[in-house]
Amino acid sequence: MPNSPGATVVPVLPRVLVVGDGEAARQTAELIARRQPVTLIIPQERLSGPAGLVSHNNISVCNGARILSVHGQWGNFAVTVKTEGSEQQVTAGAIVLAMDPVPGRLNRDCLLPAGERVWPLSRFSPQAIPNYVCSVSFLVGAGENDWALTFIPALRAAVELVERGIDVNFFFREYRVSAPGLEELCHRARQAGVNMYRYQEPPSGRVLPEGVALVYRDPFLTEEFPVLQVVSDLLVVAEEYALPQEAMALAELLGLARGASDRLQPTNVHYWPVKSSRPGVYLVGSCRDLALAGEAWLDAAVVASEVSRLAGGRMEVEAGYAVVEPARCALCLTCYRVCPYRAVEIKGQPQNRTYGAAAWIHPLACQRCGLCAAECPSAAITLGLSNAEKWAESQEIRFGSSEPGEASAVCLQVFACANSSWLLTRDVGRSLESKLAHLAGQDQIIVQRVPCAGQVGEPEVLSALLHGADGVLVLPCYDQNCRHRRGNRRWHQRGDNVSWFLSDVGLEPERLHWRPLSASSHQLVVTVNEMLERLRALGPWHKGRSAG
Amino acid sequence: MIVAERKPIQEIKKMLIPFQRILVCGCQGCVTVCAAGGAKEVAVTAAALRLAAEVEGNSLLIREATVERQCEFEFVDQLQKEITDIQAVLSLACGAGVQTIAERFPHLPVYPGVNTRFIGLPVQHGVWAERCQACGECLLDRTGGICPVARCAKNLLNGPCGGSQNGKCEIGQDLDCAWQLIYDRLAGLGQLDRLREIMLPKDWSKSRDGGPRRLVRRDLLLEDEQ
Repeated sequence: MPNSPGATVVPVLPRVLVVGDGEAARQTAELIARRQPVTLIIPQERLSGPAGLVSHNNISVCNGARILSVHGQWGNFAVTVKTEGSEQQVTAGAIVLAMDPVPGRLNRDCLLPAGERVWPLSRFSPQAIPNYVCSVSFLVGAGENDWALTFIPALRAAVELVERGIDVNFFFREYRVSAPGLEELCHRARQAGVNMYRYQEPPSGRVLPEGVALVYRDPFLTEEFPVLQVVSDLLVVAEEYALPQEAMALAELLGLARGASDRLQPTNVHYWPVKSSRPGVYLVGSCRDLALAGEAWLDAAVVASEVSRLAGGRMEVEAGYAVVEPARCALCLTCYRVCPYRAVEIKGQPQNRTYGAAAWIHPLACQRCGLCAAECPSAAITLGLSNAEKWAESQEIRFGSSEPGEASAVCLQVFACANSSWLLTRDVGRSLESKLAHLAGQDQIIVQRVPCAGQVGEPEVLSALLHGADGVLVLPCYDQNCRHRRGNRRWHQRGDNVSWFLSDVGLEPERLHWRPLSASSHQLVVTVNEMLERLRALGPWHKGRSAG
Repeated sequence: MIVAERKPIQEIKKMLIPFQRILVCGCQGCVTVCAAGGAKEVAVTAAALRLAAEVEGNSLLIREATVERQCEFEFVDQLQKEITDIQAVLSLACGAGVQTIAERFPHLPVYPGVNTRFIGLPVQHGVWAERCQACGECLLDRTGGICPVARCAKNLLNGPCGGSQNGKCEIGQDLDCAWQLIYDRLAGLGQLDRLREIMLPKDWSKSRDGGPRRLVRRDLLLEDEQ
C-alpha cells in the first residue's frame, strides 16, 4: 500500500546495468554495488580496460558483450546482450553509460604524419624511449573537450622525462588549471625545467635526419623574435578523442536526445549532473561530455545516490502522471513521438474496440509535462487527476477587482510555466504579487499555472477567450532551458498558428502575445503591463463588438 | 491513410451562415490520425465557431460528436439522438464521411470542415506525403515497391522524363524523381534487370477514367441482400 493517498506503487528492479570498460565504469559499478546488485557490461574488444579488474560479490560481469536491444522503462528495463555467439536477457531498473573515450587521429594542430620520430601520445611511455633520445617535444592541440585525456598525461610524462635529464619542450594552445591537481602539476613542470611554448598558430614541422624541427611563432614577442626553430629527437603528439562506436550505437538504441557536437547529454541545465533524456538512464563522465572525463568519479557518486531509489524494489508515484483512456486512443502515435522522455509504449488493450491496442504511459517515466495531452488528436490523454478542472482552478491566481465581462474593464489570461514565470508570480519576497495587483487596478489578471508552456495550444487559448478573457499572454522558458527539453519549442512552433487562427475567427491577433521569461527575470511586471496596455487600447472584444 | 487538412474558419462560417444549431462531427479514423478531424479538432472547431459567433453578437448552439468511422452507416446511425434539434452538420471526416451522413440523413444539410487531400503517410511528424492514387491496378511489384503512378508527376511507367535532374523532379526541388528512387532501390535489391521489361499502356478504366468505381465481393454479400 502506498504511504500517501492517491499514489501508486510501482514494483522496480534494484539491479543496475553499467556499461563501460574503463575507470569510470569500475568506480560506478563498485559504488552502486555497496547497496544493490550490478551487472557490468564490458563491450567487445576492450577487455583490457580497468573495468575488467572489478571485484565485488554484488557485481556480475558480462565480458565482451554487445547490446542488441533495450525494452521497457525506468524500473524495468529488459536488455538483450550478445556474448560469444549466445544471447542472454538482462533485466535492470536503471542503465548507466560509463564508457571511456577512445583516441582517434593525431591532433589537427600537428601538421606531420605519425612515423618513426612522430609518436601518438596514447602509445608513448617515458620508460620505453629509445637510447638515442636526448630531447623530446610534446604537442597537445586544439581539442577543447579532451583536456583531462591529453594535457594531463602529456604533462606528467614531460615532468618524468625532464627529471631524468632529458630536454623537454611542451607546445600547447591553451592552459587550464580546472582539473584536480593540474595547477600543482603545471607549477612542478615549470620548476623542473620543462620548456613551455604557448602558440596561437600551429607550429609547422619538418622531419630531419637528426630529429624533428618545429617552427614556432611566439604570439607575444613577434617583433623581436619572429620565429624560433626547436629541434628534438622525438615528437609526441596528443590524439583527438571521441566516444567509442558502441556508446553511440547504445544511445541510438535507447533513443537518447543528444547535445551539441555529439554529446550524449542535451545542452540543458535540467539534465545536470548525470541525467539523460530518458528517465532511468544515466551518463557518467565522458558519456556526458568529453570535457568531463576527469570528473567521472564525482558522477559515479551522484549516479549511485540516484539509483539507490530502486534498492527497495518498489517506488511510489504520486498521482498526476499522464493517463490514456484506451477506448478513445486512435493509435495515431502522436504521444509516442512527442514525449520528450520516451515514456509511451503501445500495449494490447481490449477496451479499444478498433485496434485492440492503445498507447500506454509509464507512470515512473512520465515527467508530467503534458505535451502528449496537449497534442493528442483524440483528446484521450489527461494528466492523471480524476477531476482535471478542479485541479486547474486550484492552480490559478486572480488579481484585480472586476469580474470578467464587466463593462470597460479588460481581463488578461496569463499562462505561466510552472518552472519559471509561475514561480515569479508567487515570489512574495520580491513583492511581485502586490505589483501585479496594483497593475490590474479596475482590470483583471488571471494567472494560470501550466506544467509546461508546450501544453498551451488552440484549445486553451480559445477556452480562455470564451470564458471572458480579452487577451492571452503565454510565458514559456528560454530555449535550451525547458525542463521538458522541447516543450517551450512546441509552443513557439504553435504560437504563430494560434495567432493566425484568432484572426481567422475574427479577433485581432494582438490579443495573443508570448515571450520567454526565466525564474529570476525582472521583466514580468513590464511584460504584463505592456500586454494590459495593448488590451486596454483594443478594449474588451465581446462587449464592444456586440454593441456595434 | 486518407490525409485531410482543416479548412479556414472563415470559409466554414460562410457555409453555416443560415444555421443557429449545428453539430460538429469528427471521425476516429484517418482524420484523427492526421490531426484534421478527431475529437480535439472537433473541440477546437466548435470553440472557434462559438467565439466567431460571439464576436459578431450572434447566438449559436453547437454540439460536438466524434464517431468511430464516419464512413460506416452503423456508426453514423449513432448520431440519431444528437441531431434531433440540429439544423446542419459540419463534418470533419474525409469526403466519404461527409457523404455517408448525407446519404443517411436526407433532410439534414451537411458541410465539409476539412479538405480531403490524398492517400499517404506521415514522412515525419507533421509532414504527410502522397503514396497511392488508387489507380485500381497495382504495379508496385514491377517498380521495387515505389509507385510511379502516384509519385511521378507525369505518371510515367517506363523510366524518367528529361525533367529529372540530380534525382529531383522538375516541378520542384522538394520532390524526388520517382524513377530515380525506383532505379536506386532496384539497384540496391540487385533487380535492375526488371527495368528491361517494357510496361504496356495502363488500363486506366480501372482508375477514375472508368467513372465512379464500385467493388462487389459476392462471397461477402449477406443472403437477404443478394
